[in-house]
Amino acid sequence: MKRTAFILSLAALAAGPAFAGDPVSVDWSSVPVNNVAMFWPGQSTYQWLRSPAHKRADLQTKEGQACVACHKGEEAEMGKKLVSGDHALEPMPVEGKNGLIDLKFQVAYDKEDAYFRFQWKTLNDYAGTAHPYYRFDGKEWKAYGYPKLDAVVQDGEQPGIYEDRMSMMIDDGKVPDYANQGCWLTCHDGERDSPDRPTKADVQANPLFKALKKSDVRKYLPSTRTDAEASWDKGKSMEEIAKIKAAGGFLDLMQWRGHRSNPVGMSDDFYVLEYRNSDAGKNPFSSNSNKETHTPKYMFDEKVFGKKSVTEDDIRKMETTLIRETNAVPFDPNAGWKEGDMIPKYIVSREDSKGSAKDNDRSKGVWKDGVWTVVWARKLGLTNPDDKALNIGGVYSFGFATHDDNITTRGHHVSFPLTIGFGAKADIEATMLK
Amino acid sequence: MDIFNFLFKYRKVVNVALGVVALLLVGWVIAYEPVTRNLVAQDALCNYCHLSSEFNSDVRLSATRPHLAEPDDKTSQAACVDCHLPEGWWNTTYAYTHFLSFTDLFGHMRDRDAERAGDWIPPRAATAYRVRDRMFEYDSVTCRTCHIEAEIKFKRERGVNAHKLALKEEKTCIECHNNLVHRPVDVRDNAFKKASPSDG
Repeated sequence: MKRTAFILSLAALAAGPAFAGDPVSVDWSSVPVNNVAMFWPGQSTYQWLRSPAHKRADLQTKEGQACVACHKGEEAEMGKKLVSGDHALEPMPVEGKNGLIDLKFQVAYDKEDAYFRFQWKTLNDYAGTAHPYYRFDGKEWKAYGYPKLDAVVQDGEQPGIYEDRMSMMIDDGKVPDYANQGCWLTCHDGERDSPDRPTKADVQANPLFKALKKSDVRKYLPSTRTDAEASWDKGKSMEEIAKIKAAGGFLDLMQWRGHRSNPVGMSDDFYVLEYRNSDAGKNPFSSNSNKETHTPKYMFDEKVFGKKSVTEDDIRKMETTLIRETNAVPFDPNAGWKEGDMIPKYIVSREDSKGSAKDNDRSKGVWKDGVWTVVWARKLGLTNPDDKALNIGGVYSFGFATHDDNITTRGHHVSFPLTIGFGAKADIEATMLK
Repeated sequence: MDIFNFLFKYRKVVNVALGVVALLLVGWVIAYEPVTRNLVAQDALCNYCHLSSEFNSDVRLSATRPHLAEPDDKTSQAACVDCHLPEGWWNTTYAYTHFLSFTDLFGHMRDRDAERAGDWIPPRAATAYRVRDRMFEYDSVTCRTCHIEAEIKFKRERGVNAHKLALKEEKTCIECHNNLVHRPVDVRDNAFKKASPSDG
């Protein structure tokens, strides 16, 4: 009964209120479907693309030539080659991984909002709604489940568990070369799962990362580095970076997440500049780790969820997201935990999200018959300093990526950049809704 | 007896001799280029000077990554002169002037003062830079001896796309196809820049 109530509450959330701006209520049958090829990029970092290893194209890439100038129509071939591991760009091949995902993409707008609809087939016959957990081993709560590029998964020590995602990266023409080279401007040697990763100590000792209080390297733009190679450790000063941001020289990066945002009808909102930064405010997910007690902060509310934790048998058969305002209560260390009990590593909350990070509060994904269908609304004319405002009459460069089959970081399928026009000529022209 | 009387007296012999000389001259004119390219300027001769700087056991070698002379014959390897000595009778002369270190294989006198000016560049890199500059200057003429743009059969889509773009942007072969066969040398900054009116 309690579980039924919970499912009904989720269904109600999924259905959403019938208000204008609801992406679910858009008549998508009247919006043209665009096919976007997304392929496995391996470790094709900014630095690799500008090295002689990128045969006969390194100079052209340095000059800003578009990827599609040569690779148009080659996504399937490249993805197949790279994913196989039969290429220097993929030193950690993932068994059974597909090289290409065909994305069906639709875009529309009205006076208030832009609407996006994504459909793609998943590799697995289950929805990627599970995400790493804390698992009680009889004595302690230990991390359980990792993305498939991690050595512990490839070595068989841990299961591959990670949420599915759909990402959009957007520029309004202010980031040099983004229209031509898209997301590849942001992937660099030194980043997670990329070549030449520095140690945590090296990162923490770097002036830029010390200022950022970060211990790993994530997406960044070349404009935030001082050298021509855009090395991770050659960061500009925070003052210089602030000037680039003020001039709009950053990328919007938004991700719909199967575990950490979808259950509360949201997507996150980040931007890429000197790092992959969260927008101001709070995104819908945060850590569920109590660092003092080394236990979770929250557990499931048995009265609502039906049980206080899940087990490995539950995941992928049911939603296992811990939602602060719906199914969570503070963790009780004396609740009679048994070996194998699992609690999500993240706590999710729509109510707690706020500020610019909350902009994508109307998105919803449904997985059926092996296909995710995600709809998403985003307000036009946003004025936050960490957003790329979409406006009627504007043309924007988009890059898409999906993380499929329990994976993160570079383990995504990506698209070449394309332009979308809202009432303007572009590769894809958004449909004006009446 | 003056020379004219002598020639008149032995005119038959002289005519035969002149014929032989003419034949030899014509033969030499005809054979000059093929003999030079195939018998004189052989790889062995080129390597007499260049071998030590061309080969590096740690990276790809001519021997392991040959530039096929015939696409269907995996054993056929292009000779040095195929890529470096432009075709043509007069151009053949540059093989000899280069052997004597007077000119490069395109007939340009070396400007050693200019070469010695500025930052020191490893000799191998300097050589590569010079050759690339000449190839760029001469529209990759030696590539085009064998590779006819309109007849290239592309193996992959990227080749079709890249060549279409190169034609549109009037790029020449060496701008993309560098670091073939030889020990790799990075393309220097500002290579392959065409002069513009604003260059003064």
